[in-house]
Amino acid sequence: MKHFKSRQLTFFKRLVFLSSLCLFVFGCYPEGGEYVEDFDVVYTNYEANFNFGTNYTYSLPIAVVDLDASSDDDREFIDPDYSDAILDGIASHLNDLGWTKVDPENADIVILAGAFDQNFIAYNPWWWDWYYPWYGPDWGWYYPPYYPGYVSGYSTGSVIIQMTVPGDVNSNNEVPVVWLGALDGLLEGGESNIISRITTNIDQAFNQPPFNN
Amino acid sequence: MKIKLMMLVGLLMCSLSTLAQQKYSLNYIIGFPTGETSDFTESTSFRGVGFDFTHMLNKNIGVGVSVSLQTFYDEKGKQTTTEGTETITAYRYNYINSLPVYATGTYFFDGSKTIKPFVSLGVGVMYNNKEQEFGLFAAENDAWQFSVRPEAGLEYKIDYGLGIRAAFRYNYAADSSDLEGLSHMGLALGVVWSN
Repeated sequence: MKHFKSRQLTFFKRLVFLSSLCLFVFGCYPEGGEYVEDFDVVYTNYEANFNFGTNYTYSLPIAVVDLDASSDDDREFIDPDYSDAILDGIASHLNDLGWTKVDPENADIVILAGAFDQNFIAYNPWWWDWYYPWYGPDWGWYYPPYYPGYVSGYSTGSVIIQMTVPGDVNSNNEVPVVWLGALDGLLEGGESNIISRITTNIDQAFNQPPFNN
Repeated sequence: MKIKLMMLVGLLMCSLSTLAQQKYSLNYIIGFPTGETSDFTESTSFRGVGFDFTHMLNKNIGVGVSVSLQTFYDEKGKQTTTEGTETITAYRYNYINSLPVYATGTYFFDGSKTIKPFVSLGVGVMYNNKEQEFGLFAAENDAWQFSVRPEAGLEYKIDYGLGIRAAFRYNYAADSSDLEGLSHMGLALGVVWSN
């Protein structure tokens, strides 16, 4: 009986040791990012044949569209503080490039900006039409030789910025999107923190090709 | 047929366990990345655990199985990568999880009363999962790869049926169609007990 108890104790000790080892090894499994900014992603893509080195005229929207709340008949905008941070950041970089801000009717490049904070199933840029006073019912947008693969499926806070060239509309009445920037990240933190991250990420977007060449 | 086969294997295991000595060892493993593994995660891994079972055919030779798990991890910091016209900037975190499973053959040298050196060769497969997190996204690739593991070590007897062990092993993984061979070395420190 005593021997049996001894064996039981030994077995118990081994079990505790084994459990402790497993807990030690798996309990400290690395978890990656810690702060909200660690999860930010800046994605850009562009048409290689478009000459970004020219001093274009450009137009900005009056505010950034809330893509979750908007529909064909009802346009909503995101918080004005965030909207201003996005548009000011874009304007600052375009001005640095030597581009000139003008009204949409006179712009070589029309900038479109939107944001959403929920699941985004498929990319469908229908919301941009109201920026174009001359927009026709059958018009659309297309991405000349590239495909914006990373735009679909974003599930958290995202800002999408597009540069379109209305003067290059094709025979299908589609306006080319020559540059696309997507800022993706967690919608966490205070307003000043989010604005700071927006500014940093817009800076990064304009520090990537083709603008850093 | 399957049930008969399982019964046969069970009976064989029971007969082996009653006829000869068996050794069990549980190890904490420090992993050192090599080759393609170190290209992706260059840091030493302090997250490894393994279990070995050895059935002694005689006092020098044993056969058994060995399974372990090693996690390699590197924080790569904020990186910008460009491919064609696409550019992505994000904080990146690289992971490799390796799960080698081997059939082993081990030779125990006579040594002294307390110390027994041994060499071992394991042949089997290694499940490798290679993952990169960037921002909120992750890209991963995994594969079962043919693997061989030479090993050399020492067992130190503390008491009857109980000892500690240290071994150095090289877990070689061959290339597979989906993934480059992700090999690593390991220093296994643990306890060994027998019946």
